[in-house]
Amino acid sequence: MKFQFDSFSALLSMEGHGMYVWISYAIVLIGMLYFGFRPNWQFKQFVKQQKRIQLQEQQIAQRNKQ
Amino acid sequence: MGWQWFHRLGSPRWFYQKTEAWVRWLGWLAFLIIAGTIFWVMAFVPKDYLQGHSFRIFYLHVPTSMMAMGGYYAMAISGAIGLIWRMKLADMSMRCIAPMGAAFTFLALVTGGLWGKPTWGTYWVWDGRTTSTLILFFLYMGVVALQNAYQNQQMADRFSALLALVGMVNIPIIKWSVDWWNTLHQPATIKLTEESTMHGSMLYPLFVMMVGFYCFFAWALIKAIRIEILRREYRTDWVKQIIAAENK
Repeated sequence: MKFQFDSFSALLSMEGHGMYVWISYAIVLIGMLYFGFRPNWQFKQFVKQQKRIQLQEQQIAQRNKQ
Repeated sequence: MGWQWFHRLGSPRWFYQKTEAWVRWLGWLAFLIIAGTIFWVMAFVPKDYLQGHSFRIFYLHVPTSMMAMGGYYAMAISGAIGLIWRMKLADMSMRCIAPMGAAFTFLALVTGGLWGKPTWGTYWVWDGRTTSTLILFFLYMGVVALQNAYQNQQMADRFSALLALVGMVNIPIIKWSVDWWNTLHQPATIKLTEESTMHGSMLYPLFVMMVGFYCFFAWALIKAIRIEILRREYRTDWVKQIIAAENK
């Protein structure tokens, strides 16, 4: 296996095709990161929401007792 | 043993607990394979004699297209299992695959366009493969829209499963479009029954990248299903325990 580029700038420009190649890789990676880590954020949202609902239920139960 | 595993798979709680460990190593596996292959592709794979360096997009375009089509199979099969056996987990997986499949179809179209510009001279052409893939994207969006159109989750699951199954007609059209209509999109390079027309130095990274993408899809899908399980089972004691443990 041989390294295909003479310099870092050659790797970036890819003889004029660099823009297409690097944009493709960036878009795909951003999309994959979004779907890979969205559940982590959703989990936090879910716990927060459920906590709020539980708190409301407790308050209603207390009010009914009084 | 027999069908016990199948019935177990129908239990969202069992799935949630079982996948806790899977998620961790699948994520790392996907990351290592994909990052390693990108390095391999960018640094060591030779450029194509005709297409030049734009050919490197191939290593994303093919795996994203495969995820787009494979995801549709998985979504339609999940939908069918949900319809026939009323398995909760199948409905959940159908719901979770739809947005991911739509995203991969979109990425396949975008990478195709970005590859098309330097090689075909245009970002888009209404040929058989690209048009049928665009229809696949609309089908995915239809399933996503139906999932969100009903207040009643059961109705949403039933109707979106039906749409997913009807849309299966499109899959063989995508597959054979390059043979039926001889337009701009090239025919398949890799065939199961014949020897590939690509050299090994270009072909092996593609196979490795596909494995990486499969690992990623499994990882992201399992994570999404785990959240869907919590959302649908929020009334059960075991989910309440998870929430209580998080509160501390």
